[in-house]
Amino acid sequence: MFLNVEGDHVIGVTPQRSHYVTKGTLCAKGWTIPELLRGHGRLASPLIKKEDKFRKISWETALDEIVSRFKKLIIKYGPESIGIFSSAKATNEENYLMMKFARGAIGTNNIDHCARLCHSSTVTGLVKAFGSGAMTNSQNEIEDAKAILLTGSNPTEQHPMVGAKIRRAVEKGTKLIVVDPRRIPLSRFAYLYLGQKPGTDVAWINGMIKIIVDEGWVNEDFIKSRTENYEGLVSAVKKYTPSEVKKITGIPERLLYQAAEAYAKSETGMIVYGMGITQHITGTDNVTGLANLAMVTGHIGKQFTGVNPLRGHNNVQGACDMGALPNFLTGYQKVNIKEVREKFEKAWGVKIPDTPGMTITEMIDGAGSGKIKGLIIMGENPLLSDPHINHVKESLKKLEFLVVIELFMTETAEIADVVLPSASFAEKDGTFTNTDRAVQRIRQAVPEFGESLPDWKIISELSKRFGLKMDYRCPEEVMDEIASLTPIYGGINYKRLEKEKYLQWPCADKNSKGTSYLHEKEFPRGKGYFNPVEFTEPDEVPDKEFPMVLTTGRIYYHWHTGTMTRKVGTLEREVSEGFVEINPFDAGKRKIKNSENVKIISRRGELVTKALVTERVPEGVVFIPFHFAEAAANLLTNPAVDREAKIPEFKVCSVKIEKM
Amino acid sequence: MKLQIKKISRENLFKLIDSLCSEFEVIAPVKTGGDIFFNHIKNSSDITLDYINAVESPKRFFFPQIELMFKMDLNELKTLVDKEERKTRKKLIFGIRTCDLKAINGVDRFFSGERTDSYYQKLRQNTVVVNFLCNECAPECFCTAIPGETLYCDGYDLRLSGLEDGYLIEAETEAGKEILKKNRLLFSETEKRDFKLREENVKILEEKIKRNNPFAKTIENLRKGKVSSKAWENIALSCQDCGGCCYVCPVCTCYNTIEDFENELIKRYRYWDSCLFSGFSRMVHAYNPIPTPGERLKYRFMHRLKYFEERYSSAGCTGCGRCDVVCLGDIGTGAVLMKIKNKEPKCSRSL
Repeated sequence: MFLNVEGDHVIGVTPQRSHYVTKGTLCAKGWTIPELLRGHGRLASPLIKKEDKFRKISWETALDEIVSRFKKLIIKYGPESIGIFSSAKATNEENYLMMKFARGAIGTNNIDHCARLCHSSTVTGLVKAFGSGAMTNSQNEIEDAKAILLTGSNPTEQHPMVGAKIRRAVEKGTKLIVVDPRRIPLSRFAYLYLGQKPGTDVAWINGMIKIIVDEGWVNEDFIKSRTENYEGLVSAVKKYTPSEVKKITGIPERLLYQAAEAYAKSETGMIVYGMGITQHITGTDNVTGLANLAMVTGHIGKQFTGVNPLRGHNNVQGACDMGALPNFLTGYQKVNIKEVREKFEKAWGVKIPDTPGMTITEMIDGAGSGKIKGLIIMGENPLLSDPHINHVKESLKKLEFLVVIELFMTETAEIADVVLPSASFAEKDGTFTNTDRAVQRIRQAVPEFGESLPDWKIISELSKRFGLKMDYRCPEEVMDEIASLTPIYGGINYKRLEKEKYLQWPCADKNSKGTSYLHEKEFPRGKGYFNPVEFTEPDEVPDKEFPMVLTTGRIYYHWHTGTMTRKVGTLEREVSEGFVEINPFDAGKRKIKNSENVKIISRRGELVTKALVTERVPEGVVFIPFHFAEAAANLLTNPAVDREAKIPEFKVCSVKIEKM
Repeated sequence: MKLQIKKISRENLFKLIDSLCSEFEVIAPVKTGGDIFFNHIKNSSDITLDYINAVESPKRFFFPQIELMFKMDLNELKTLVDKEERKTRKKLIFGIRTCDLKAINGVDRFFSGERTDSYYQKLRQNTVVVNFLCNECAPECFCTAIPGETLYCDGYDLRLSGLEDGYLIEAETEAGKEILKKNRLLFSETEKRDFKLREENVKILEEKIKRNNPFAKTIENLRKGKVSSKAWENIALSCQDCGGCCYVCPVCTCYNTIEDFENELIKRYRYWDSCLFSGFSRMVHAYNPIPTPGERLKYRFMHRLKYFEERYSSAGCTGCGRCDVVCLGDIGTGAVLMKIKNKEPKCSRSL
């Protein structure tokens, strides 16, 4: 998008027709960016908390205070007592510097970011199956897939560009299969709609594979030449007969059969999924299950054909690529491999700790248990975005020192000791990597708001004070360093981005044109591996006391914890309060009327919000969007995590509903 | 007022633009990263003449997407004039296509009619408008497919028409004539065949656009209310609530306001709005007189293609086709008219 600027102010936005994905379109959140950038509520100077009140201080004082407090903690408790949340909203360069700061300046691998809460199970699952965890196709290929299996994702609202492309594909003749507990808008365009019970994904995925194997719709050539452990998979899916799957998921046998047939028999087939798949204690299993499904049919490694997790934040793909993760350096190079560490140590001139650090969820628990004493949170709002908020708040309050780097005074910033104001995307240079692995430039359009500074400058200043020099004159120099240390970014630099507009990794060197779809001839791990998975129940299942299933998610007009979108007049007018979607049957049973306030209670908390009586949700299931602080869905959610990816089970917990 | 008509070579046209840049704040089509925008230029080397139309109309220059209306000090209960008051240097917008000229005429009547909008006036006044007739159309263009519309429109100060060996330049207003007079050394006299050639070009293009968009009859049916509610609802299923059609529409003028409180200071802004958002027409107790997406879409079409023209005697839709380009649901004006014509809500018009 282009920002229209008058003086120091953004007065409008214009979509970019020549953009390879958007082709001149924007969603409501893009169109209303100028309302956000009017700057209302922006933090204009560093703040320090004294006697429970924030006071303005200078940058020098703020940075010196942070450094002296953290140094004391490191001396007393060791570097492992420090944790860092990097940000999927910040640029690649900033995430790279943050991870360099954590590992090089502080000396800890305790760095993570919100991908932990959205797609960490995609990374663990797809790495096990293929060796790399990203969208295997490009967004533009969607329109030409012959079959699309869309599950656990509501792209019309959460990825409007993808939603539009899927609808367009259907109009061109694509068979769309939607598997989702909620009747999402795209289900009206679907060839088949399968409504499964929340948390039963492994069962229907295995059930589809069984049908495909039994009917002989498998791609034998592909299985023989490109995969391993097919026999293991076949024996594991044996018991998932259509009737057994119906018992577990509620999906009628005939629909499951039709879905398996439509997906397997089509010439090209794409799986598109979102957090409905990943945010479960079986998140990794769900993802590997989908990878199995793609591999038995050979629906991977071709144009219009593959497995496509839809990433959420503007730069969540990039934050992962940059190694803002406890176990990876840039480009998914493992931190526990000596040669990898040595490469970075040589470039940075410091030692890097050799054992993987703590995840976001572990750091929050660690703050509660006393393992983590100091935390830096950049552009994240865990007091609204993380499960079981009461626990998060208790834990963070036990920290000896909390620093929050933010645009606005968020719920999390409120409890910080020092708050640093950072510059918005319109006020700095850098790159973002989008969901289809395309690295693109952002350019400064207006000066920094107030005294705010871009994150890369803040991190550089902090790092310098810890003794690790970061004398970058501009983000371009940071990207050159990233490229020199990261094989998949090897050929990416600002000069090329200026000319070519975008480059999709892997892009190994200056001659590489980038890669629009992955795994054409070989998987990164060599052969694709069938990891058999078994259905297990969600951590919490409905019982007498808590008879309903709560599933959480997002709505079109708001983004994440609403820190930004709730300040945008147009968006806030469209939906200005939280709600709970409840099926007419369940509402009738409790004599709950539309728009009436109801109380929702889980084992961890309760909230009061408006009932929205709708058939979008099936009987026994309620849905609450998590954007709204005054009716925060995450007061209720279950912090139980996937054993491999440590992603919390946002999508299933048990609740009861009371009429007020 | 009598028209004054001259001829100018391509080379001299650039000289004219340079001369205009010294006198006016010139806004002209500029190529930025593969897209064409109206933007401020310093001299003729910034401009591109190789364009069909800009991504957006010049509406933004008179009616910005977001605008600070005033500040108020609560202590003194005094409205403060914004320090950064806009420059009122004379503006010249160069290269406006006829669709956008029609739009400016319409917005002028809306904002300067019975009720004057001083914010609009301030930015609109002292602006010289240079119309540049089209000689090619884009896939989304449907201006002359609207009954009664042609490629010509009054309301310009100067008008350029491309010929093989230069341009016709016509002055309709005093401001336009003044420019011709000041730069008289750059012009030559016209010949009869120049007009003939222009007439031919215009006719060919008008017919081509009509052929590409055979929905004149559909528009008449729509104006008579002959499109069923079911058809509107079916079409609106594809709407993704982005508001883009209204934002990008050169004739749309709806805005909303917001007040920001910062201690004792209140700032009021106004910003573009869209009638396709359900909140636009929502009233107390979530009552909505235009409750469904289909009804909202119908209302927008009726307003653009019927009511506006009835009230302001000026086209409410100029056929620029920008709503077709920005629409995530592929239901911009041209696409919807084709769907209605073909009784096929699901078929998309491919651009």
